[in-house]
Amino acid sequence: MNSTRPLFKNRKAAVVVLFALLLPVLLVIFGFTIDYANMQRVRAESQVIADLSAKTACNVLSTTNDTLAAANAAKVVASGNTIAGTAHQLRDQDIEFGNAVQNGSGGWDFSSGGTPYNSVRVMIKRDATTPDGGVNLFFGALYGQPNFDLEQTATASFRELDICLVLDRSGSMKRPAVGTLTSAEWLARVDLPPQPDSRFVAVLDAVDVFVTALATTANPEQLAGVTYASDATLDESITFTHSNVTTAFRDYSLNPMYGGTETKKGIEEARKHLEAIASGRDQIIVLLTDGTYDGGNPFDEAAKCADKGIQVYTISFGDDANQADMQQIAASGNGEHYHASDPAELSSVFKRLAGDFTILID
Amino acid sequence: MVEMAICLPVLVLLVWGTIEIANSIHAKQVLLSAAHEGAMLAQQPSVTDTEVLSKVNAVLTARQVDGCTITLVGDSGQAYTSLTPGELFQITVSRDDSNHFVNISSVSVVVKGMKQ
Repeated sequence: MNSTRPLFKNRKAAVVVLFALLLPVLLVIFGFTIDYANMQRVRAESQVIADLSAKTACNVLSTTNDTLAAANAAKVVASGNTIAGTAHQLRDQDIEFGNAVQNGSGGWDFSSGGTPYNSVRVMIKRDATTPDGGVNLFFGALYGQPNFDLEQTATASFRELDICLVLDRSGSMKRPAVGTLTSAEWLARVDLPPQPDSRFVAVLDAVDVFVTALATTANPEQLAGVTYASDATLDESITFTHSNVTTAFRDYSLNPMYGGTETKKGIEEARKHLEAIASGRDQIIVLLTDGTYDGGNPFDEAAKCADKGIQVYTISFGDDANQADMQQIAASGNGEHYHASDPAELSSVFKRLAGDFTILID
Repeated sequence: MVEMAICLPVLVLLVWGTIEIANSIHAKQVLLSAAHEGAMLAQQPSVTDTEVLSKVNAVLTARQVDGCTITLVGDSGQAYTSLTPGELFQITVSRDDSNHFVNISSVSVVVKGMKQ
């Protein structure tokens, strides 16, 4: 048997024929590859729209408690964005309101229609039943699949929070919020209560802004107050009556304040209080200072909080504040750091904190 | 040889085109994730445009993409900081990759969100 016997008598152009036969197959493969990649991109695109519109709707719900306004806001955001070039129109049935509770293992359980409403679920859906139909594929005609279905959801919820404010009441808080003093000017006020232009009063005003902003949201957050200098005190236990906390803080502005900045003690006091409540809600500490810590190690303490599931947010106020330290405390405490160099910025930081308590849960 | 001369260009063109298109889809995906992060931040109250832009930049840097242009403005071109709650903003992230033979990889992503 002749093993080298050619298959075709005339082999000329056989490869071209073979290639021509294979070309459609190759086209399908390449077309599908591109379509598949694009499909993933379109899914990501619709997830972005789902996230943004759910979060927007939840924010509106938290401030107005108005489901119609919340649904409209979600629609406006969705229609501002495009999916594969088409502006996305949310339908009423794509937006669900409901109640979500934390299930103890770090997740959330959303029940559609559950009250009180604290969550919004937005579904981005494109298929034969929706007005725009499925999303077109570029090469779908090659393999008989003109379009594909899309279904992405996002759920946003209010966080139910226990917030412990931890304020610095060290001697330096009597310094003016803006500008510096000569040593003579400082001596003149060192034994006086904090003056209206002092950092401490600026902080009190900012806390008022915070409490006012909390009151405009439907989130049922509780507030506690801790202050610290060389020692730390729990000035107001956790309460839904936020004005109790501001009043307790205001009391400090009646007398001169002295002492160091034992930040660690402040965080520790707050952590012990929050742990003792064991409310099962999300717990956060908002720590404020105008200086550099002394005494114990606040980073380890913040890490301890994070271990217990308590987030530590930090605010450094004024040019004397050690921003790097506060950043590190926030990092150890699984929170965020903000810096404010003047009273207006401080108010805006607090306002932002109060407005950022809606989260995506799914 | 003659057959090769006929088939190879077609094959190369196909493969090259597929890679190039996939590449631009991927680039768009990366820009999208950066714009997503930025938009989530820009939806928060009292955020400055500088913060948003640096957030977008941070994502792009982490994904090792450079040479991008980022803009954050109101829906009708006004300054982001002048927006009042309920107005739309838009983040545009675009990358013009002139290294490519055919400039198919110059991609741009627009994400809109609502100011709180």
